Amino acid sequence: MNLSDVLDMGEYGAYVWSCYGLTLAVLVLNVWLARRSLAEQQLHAKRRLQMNSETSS
Amino acid sequence: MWLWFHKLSSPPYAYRTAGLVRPWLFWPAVLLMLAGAFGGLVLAPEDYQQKDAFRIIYVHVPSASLSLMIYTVMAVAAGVGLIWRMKLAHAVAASCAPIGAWFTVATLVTGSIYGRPMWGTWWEWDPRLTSELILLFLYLGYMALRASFDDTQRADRASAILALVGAVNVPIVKYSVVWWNSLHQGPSISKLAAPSIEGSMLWPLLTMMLAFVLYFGAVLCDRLRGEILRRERNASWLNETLAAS
Amino acid sequence: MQSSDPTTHQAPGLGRILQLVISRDLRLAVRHWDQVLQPLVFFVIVTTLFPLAISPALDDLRKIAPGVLWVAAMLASLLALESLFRPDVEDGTMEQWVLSGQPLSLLLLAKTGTHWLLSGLPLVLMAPLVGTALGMPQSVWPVLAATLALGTGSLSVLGAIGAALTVSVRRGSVLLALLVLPLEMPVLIFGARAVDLALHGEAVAGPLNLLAALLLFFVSLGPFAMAAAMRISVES
Repeated sequence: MNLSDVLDMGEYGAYVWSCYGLTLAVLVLNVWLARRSLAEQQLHAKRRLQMNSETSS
Repeated sequence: MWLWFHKLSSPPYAYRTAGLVRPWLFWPAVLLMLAGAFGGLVLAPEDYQQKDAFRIIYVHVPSASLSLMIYTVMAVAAGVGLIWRMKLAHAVAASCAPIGAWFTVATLVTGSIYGRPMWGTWWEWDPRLTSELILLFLYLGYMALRASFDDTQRADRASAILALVGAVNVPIVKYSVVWWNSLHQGPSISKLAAPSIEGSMLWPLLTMMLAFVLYFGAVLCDRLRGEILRRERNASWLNETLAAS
Repeated sequence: MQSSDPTTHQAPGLGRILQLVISRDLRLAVRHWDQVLQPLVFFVIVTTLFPLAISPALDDLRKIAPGVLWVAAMLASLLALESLFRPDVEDGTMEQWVLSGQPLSLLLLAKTGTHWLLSGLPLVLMAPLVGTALGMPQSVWPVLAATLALGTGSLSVLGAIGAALTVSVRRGSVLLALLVLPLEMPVLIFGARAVDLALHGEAVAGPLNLLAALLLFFVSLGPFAMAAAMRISVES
C-alpha cells in the first residue's frame, strides 16, 4: 500500500481516520486529565504542608 | 504474597509504587499502539466484504473491551473496599470510573462512525451499541452518586453498592438486549461483528488490546496517586514523599 | 415497637414486627390516600400524551401501546418511590430501625412489598383499561396484567435500592431516576416485548418466565443491597 492508498482507505478514508483520530484524542485527553489532577493534588498537598509547618514553628 | 498485598494497601507504599510502575506501563503501551495501528492500517489486507472500513475495528473493539473490563475492575475494587474496608480499594474504584466512561464514549462514537458506511445510518440499535450505551449510563450514574456525597467514606460505600448492583446487572442487560434484537427480522449476526478474521488481521487487534490495557494501567496509576493525595490530607508521610518529588 | 400487653417482657417476634411494619404503612397510606393516587394519575396522564403527540388513530396507537404502557408504568413507579423511605428517614424512624438489631433487610423488604401493593398493583389493575384506550384488544389483557405484575415487582425492588442509596441526598429524585432506569431496562425489554408478542398472537412463555426469574432474583438479593445502602444513608 502506498501513502495515498493509506489516506484514502478505499472510499472510507474519512470514516477510518476520524475514528482513529477520535480514539487518539480520547487517549491523549485521559492522560492529560490524569496528569493534571495529580499535579493539582501535589500542589495542594505541598501548600498545606507548608502552612502546617509555618503555623507550628 | 499476602504480605505484599498488605503492604500495597498502605497509601504511601501504593503512591510510590504507582509512580515507579507508571512509565513501565505507559511507554510499552505507546510502542504497542504504534505497532498495532501500523499493522492494522497498513499491513493487514483489506477485508473481502467491508474493504478498508473494517480497519476501524482496531480502535473500536479494544475500546469496547476496555470499557467492559474497567467496569469489572471498578466493581471488584469497590467490592474489596466494601468487604475488607480497604480505603485504597475504594480509591482504585473511584479512579477507574472516568477512564472507563471515556472508553465507552469512544466505543459509541467509533461504532456509530463504523456503522455509517456499513448500514447507511449513523445509529443502529444493535446489541453491542445498545449495551454500550447502557454501560455509559451505569458509569455516569456511579460518578453522579459519588459526587452527591460530601463525605468521602459515605461516597465510597454508597457507590460501591451501586457498582456491585450494576455489575450483577450487566450480564442481565446484555442477555436482554441480545434477545430484544433477535426478535426482529434481518441478519441474525450482530451488525458490528468483526469480519471473519485471519492471522494477518488478528495480530494487530491483539496488539492494540494489550496496548490499551497497559495504557489503562498507566493512567490508573496517575489517577490513583491523585486520589491518594486527595484522601490523605494531613498524613505525615506526605512530608518526605513530596519534599523528595 | 412494643408488645401491646404491657405486662409481658418478651420482645416481639420477627413475624409480629413485620406485621406491624406492614400495617403501619397501610394505615399511613389510607390517611394520605391522595398521595397514593398521584402516581396513578401520572400514569394515566403520561399515556394520554402519546395519542396527543402521535395520532388519534387506534391502529397506529395499538402498535406502540405495549411500549407506552410499560414506559409510563416505569416513570410512575419512579415517582411513587419518593414516599417509600424518605418520610421514615426524615422523622428518625429509619434510624431506630437500623439501630434496633432486627434484620434490616427484611424490614425494608416488607416496606417495599407494601409499597408495591399501593403503587404497583393499582397499575396492574388500571393498565388493561388504559390499554384499551390505546387500541389494545381484550385478548391481550391477561398477558398485560401478568407482565406488569411480575415487572412492577422487580421495578419496586430495584427502585427501593436506588431510593435507599439516594434518600439522604438533597433533591435526589433525578439522581434516583438516573441510577434506577438503566437497571430496569431488562425488565422493560422483557415486559413490553412480551405484550407485543401477545398482540401478534405469538408465544409469551419465554419472556414471562424471564420476568418471573428476574423478580425472584431481585427479591432474594435486593434487600441486602437495600439494607447496606440504608445504613450508609442514615449514619450521620
